[in-house]
This record gives sequence, C-alpha cells and structure tokens, in this order.
Amino acid sequence: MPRVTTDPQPAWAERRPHADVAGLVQHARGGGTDAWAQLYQLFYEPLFRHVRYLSGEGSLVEDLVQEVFARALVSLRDFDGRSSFSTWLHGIAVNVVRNHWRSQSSTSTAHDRLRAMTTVREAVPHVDLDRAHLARERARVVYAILADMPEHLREAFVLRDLEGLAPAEAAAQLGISPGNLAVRATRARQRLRAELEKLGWLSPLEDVS
Amino acid sequence: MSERVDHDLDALLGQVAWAVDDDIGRTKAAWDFAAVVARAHELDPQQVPRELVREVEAAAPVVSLAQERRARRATRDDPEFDRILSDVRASVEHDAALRRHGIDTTGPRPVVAPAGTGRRVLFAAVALAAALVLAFGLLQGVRYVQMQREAPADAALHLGEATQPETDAATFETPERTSARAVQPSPPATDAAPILEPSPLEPEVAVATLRRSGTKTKKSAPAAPPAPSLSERLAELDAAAAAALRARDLAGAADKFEQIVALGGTSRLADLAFGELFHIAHRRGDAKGELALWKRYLARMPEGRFADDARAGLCRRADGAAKDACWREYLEDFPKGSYVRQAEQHLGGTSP
Repeated sequence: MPRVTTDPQPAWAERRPHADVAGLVQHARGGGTDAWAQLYQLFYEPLFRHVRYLSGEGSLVEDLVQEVFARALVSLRDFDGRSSFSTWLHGIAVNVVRNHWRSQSSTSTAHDRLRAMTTVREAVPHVDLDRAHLARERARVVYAILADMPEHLREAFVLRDLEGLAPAEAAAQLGISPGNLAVRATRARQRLRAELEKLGWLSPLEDVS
Repeated sequence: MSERVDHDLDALLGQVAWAVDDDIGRTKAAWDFAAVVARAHELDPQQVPRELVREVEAAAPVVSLAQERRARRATRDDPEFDRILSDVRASVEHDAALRRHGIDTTGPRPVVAPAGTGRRVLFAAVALAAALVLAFGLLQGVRYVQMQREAPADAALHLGEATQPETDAATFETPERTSARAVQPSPPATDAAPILEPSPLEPEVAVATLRRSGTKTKKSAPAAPPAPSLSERLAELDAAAAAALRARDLAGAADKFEQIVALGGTSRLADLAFGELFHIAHRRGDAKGELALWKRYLARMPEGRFADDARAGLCRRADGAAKDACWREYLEDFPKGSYVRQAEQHLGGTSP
C-alpha cells in the first residue's frame, strides 16, 4: 500500500523551510521548467546518495542520477500522486540502477572481484588496516557479494540495511509490501553472512539454543 | 518469527555505510540541469522539444543549495550501536562542515554512552570528535572577542548594531565597485562585505565558555540591554525570507536575503542567501540582475560554494572570444569543477 496520499516534505527538506515540493510538482506538471530546475536542486543530493548506495560505485553515479532526472522529466505526467514525489523519484532510481546492474552483470566479473577481496584479506590481516581503510575494504567486499545476489534480494537489502530507509518507504520504492521487503532483506542478510563467513570476514554465529 | 541479533554483521554493515557516506561526502557532484534536459529530449523529443533544451542551456546553471544530507536511520535490532555510529558520522560531518563552510551555530552534539566495553573505541572516536569541535569553537570564541576589541565598528555590524548607511553600503554594493576594490590593497576593515569568522559558538556562549574555563576576559559595561545576536537576527531574517517565499512574495524574500547577505559577511548563511538570490533573479527572468549577483558573489566569495556555478553562469552569458577565454579560465581555476564537461565541449567546438 502506498505510504502517503499527499506530498509531504521529506525529512531533509523540513530543515529547508523554503521548499514547497507539492507546489513545485504541480507547476512542473504544467510544463514549468523553472519548477523542474528547483526540483532538481532540491532532490539532487538525496538522489545522489540513494543511487550511490544502490549502485555501490562512485564513478557512474552522476550519469545515473542524470538519467533518473531525465526519465522523471519525461514521465512526470504519469505521476499520479499516490506516493510522494520523493518516493516516486527514488523508485525511478531503483529502475535505472537495476538496468545498470543488468548491463554490468557478469558472473565471472563478480567472482573475480570476490577473489581479489579474498586476496586482500589474506595478504593484509585486518588488524593492520586503519579503521577507514578497513571500512572501505568491507564496503568493497559487501558490494562484490551483492553483485552476485538476485536483484530483488539485493535491492531490498541495500535500501533497508545499508541506506537505512524505513520499511514502508523502502517497500514503496520497490512496489512491494513491507512484509515482503522484510523477507527479502532477511534472506539477503543470510546469504551475505554466509559469504562473509566463507571469505573470513566474519566468524560463524554461536549457537545459543 | 524472531530474528537473532547479529551484532557482528550489523557492525560490519555500519562500517560499510560509513564508507559509502564518507565517499559521498568527498564527492563534488557535477550538477548539470542542462544535460538532464538534453537527455530528456533524447528520450522523448515531443515531450521535451529542442527549444526547451536551448532555453535551459542559455539559462543560469542550477546551483546546489547544499541540502542537509538525509540522515541515515537505524536499521536492525541494535539501536545503541546505530546511535553510536550515527554520532560518529554526525561528528565527522559536523567537523568537515566547520572546516569547509565556517560558521555553524549548532554546537557539539550530545554523545551517547556506549553500552558495552567492545564499543569503547567507537565511543572514544565520538568523544574525540566532540572535543575537537568544542576546542575549535573555543578558539573561534577567543578570536571573536579579540576581533571585538580590535575592530569595534566591524564587530558592531556582526552584532547587528550597524548604522543604516553601513548596512546599505553592504547591501547595494555594485559589482563594478566591488571588483574595483578587490584589486586595491585596501585594509579589510573598509570592505563593505564584513568578514565573519567561522564561529560555531554564539558570542555569548563563547564568552561564557571562556569564563567557565577560567580564561580572563575584559569586564564589560553593565548598562546596555542585550542586543539580539547576529545568528538570532540572521535566523529571523531567514524565517521571514522563507515565509515570503511560501507566499510567493519574491521581492520580499529577495529583500530579506539581501539583508542576510549584508549582515552575514562570508558566513554559510550569507553564502546560501546568495544562492537563493540567484534563484529568485532567475525566476523573475532578471538576466541583468543575475549577472550582477554572480559578480558580487565572486567578488565577495571567490571560493564560495556557488563560485563554480557563478563562474559557469558568467561564461554561459559571455559572447565570442570572451566566452572562449572565460571557459579556459574556468578550466584553469576549476579543473574538477561541475562544468568541466561543458567547458571542454564548448572549447572543443570552438578551438581550431
């Protein structure tokens, strides 16, 4: 079920009292280029973050964000207002990044990346890495594992567990129920943990039963 | 079904999220609304006609108003750990913001006590970051007090006690005058744009902090009633500008933003107010006003957050050889700027 019926200010926009998203969307739907420019201005940074999380790499984010806005611009007339504009826009981003993943998908590439991660892990014990470096290495490993995961699990996991969206918001962006989202995210976590254990980044969970 | 808490995995994912956020924070994203519209035209030429692309290309660039990045919310079943991570992230971002943009009146954030001994390292990081922020604020407080002693007229302006002519001079500075003065070796005190040092603590708070810490300060005369602080005045103006914008009163909003610009010196709020003024001028179709604003802005804040956009705006409006020269200079000054692609495209198309 869509989360909202109106177009509330997203959390980040509440700190900017000048933002009138609903008014801008209405104006943009009427062909107001200036309103579109303002929406671009308002949503660029949150969308950049969203796409960065979803894609897992920094180099193509700008192009992907541009694609998201361009697609939104030509399909704004299809926006029916059942979800918030932010959710709608972020949903387009999910599709754009999904296509990107598909165009990049190559099992051998993913395996290669994982092998490289294993090599790093074996060559440099994590105690020797500084905290920031270790965090970045872990990010690379996690995204390499995600590359091998079915997209419906990967997307649920990234939105919920990495980007930290609320269940209702993440579910709305993916067009699924919050319950379904929880199931997918949990399965993704299980797979991710298993891979991380296999690669030596995590110890097996102790049995507490 | 109750899921087992997996602290190890949550900790690892917290680090992954930190790494991604850190990467985002380091990235200077290339804004290019004209490229978006051009791409939309490719996707649907009927919906987005060629004329629209040309119109947007000729218009002012859309500039970042530096939104607050959306705060990451807690994910799983370890709220304490997430709170700690969030504090670490907030402290890092706060510290980075102080260094990048100067004034910030929010002060150090509260630190959440760690729940377990295994989290002490993280706690220490939070405490260290908070201490750094506090120390920075203290230092700025000392500098502020010194500035008040050494430059009373300027300090009065900071406290909102400037006489009307002083304020007007700052508000209605023409680009020609500003540019001309920029090349003169005049002392900083005569600059119409007051230089506001980064001050994460309010002056009053800074002085109070100094007193608490045992640092001696000069006794002040007790008679004068407390004037509103600069940040209070700026906050009032910002709220009034927001109300005016909501009421579609562009002239009223522009007036308030101009006052923020006049009072705020090179502060973050003044920087943002310039951005809003750019946008208002654009919405009014005031092309001459936009040009004047960009020049005023660059004269005051040649390295401000919109400097990249203002320079690109000037280049877009330039003609012929001046346009080529402008983009060349842009590439020299902003080799990693948001409009490098556009500059290169232009020069690639015009260079022999």
